[in-house]
Amino acid sequence: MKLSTLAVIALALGLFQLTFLHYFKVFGVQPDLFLISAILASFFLPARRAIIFSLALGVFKDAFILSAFGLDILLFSLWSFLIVKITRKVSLEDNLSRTLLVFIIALLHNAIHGLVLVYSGSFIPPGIFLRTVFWGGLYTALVLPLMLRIIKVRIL
Amino acid sequence: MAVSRPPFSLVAFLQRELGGIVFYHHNLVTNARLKKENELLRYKLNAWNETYLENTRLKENLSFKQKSAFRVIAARVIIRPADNWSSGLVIDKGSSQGIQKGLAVATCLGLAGRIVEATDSTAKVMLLNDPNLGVSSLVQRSRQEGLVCGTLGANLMMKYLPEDADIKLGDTIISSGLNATYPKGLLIGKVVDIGKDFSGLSRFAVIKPAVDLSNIEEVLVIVP
Repeated sequence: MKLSTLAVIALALGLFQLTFLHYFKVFGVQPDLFLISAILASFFLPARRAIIFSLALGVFKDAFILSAFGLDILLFSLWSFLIVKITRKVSLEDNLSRTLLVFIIALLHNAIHGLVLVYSGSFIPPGIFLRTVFWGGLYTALVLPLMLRIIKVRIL
Repeated sequence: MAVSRPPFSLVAFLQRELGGIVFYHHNLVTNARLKKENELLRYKLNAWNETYLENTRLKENLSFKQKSAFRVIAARVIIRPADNWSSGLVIDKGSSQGIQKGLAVATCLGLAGRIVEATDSTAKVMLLNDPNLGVSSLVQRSRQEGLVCGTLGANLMMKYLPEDADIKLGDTIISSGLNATYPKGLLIGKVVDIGKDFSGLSRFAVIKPAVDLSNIEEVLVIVP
């Protein structure tokens, strides 16, 4: 996939997340479309481009969040790097294995984000913490096959 | 008075059916035109409904603005934050309109949050249910003080209440004015549950916010 195509997709998903996605919240949680864009980049772009693209996405996302600036920049680049490393050794061609990988990444991403907030002094009840970590991860992972299908049918 | 029923006869039936066949094309064109007109009217009705609802909200805000002793700046919500770990929004007014970091944000229903960042034309608002926001508050009836914090959920939590705190279900919680950011007396919400802290040393109260924090479209920034 071309970098420009992916950039347009990421921009569209980003704008959708910033404006209308809160209408699709389930149990108070919304999927992370920025993370999905970063993961798509890691699947479809060469290693260096994917990492730079994810870093740029992290900056885009962090510009619109209210806490822990810089965490997404760091984590998106890290996930991108890890996916590039993993896909060199393991074949991840089917949607199920990709979804599973996204679920694990989204789970870790949410958990790190939440723990940073807790350790920086914010009070988050354990129930809401677990709900955001687990359900946020699952919701993000479940959106990925839909995105892959749209990309495959409409763009590729 | 007897209601006369339209006469049904074979002649009338044939006349109607023949008319339908003869004027088929005319009817088809009229039908298409009416469908288009209907769509346009539906669109206009929807736009009118939206304007009506907006007008109602703005009237409420204007009424708050006129009644309120504070100077307020009205703003529209343009963006919601991108993650699940914070609760906030971005408004379409910034430092060029007099908005600065730290100002309180309310709606006509009560306190909504605080400005955490302001650019020339936009500002970021941290909402009350963000865990990083704490508001010094009072129980209106007993004047019991506490700290209202966000939990990322639909409700807020009033912490640091002593064991013998005079607080009951249904009590109204207002801002105490101890923090210069929030003027005294702004409505925060109502007590819906009271519990004991994990340590057992103090109590907490669960507050249902007066403002529906997930559905804010316009806000009022309070300028001191």
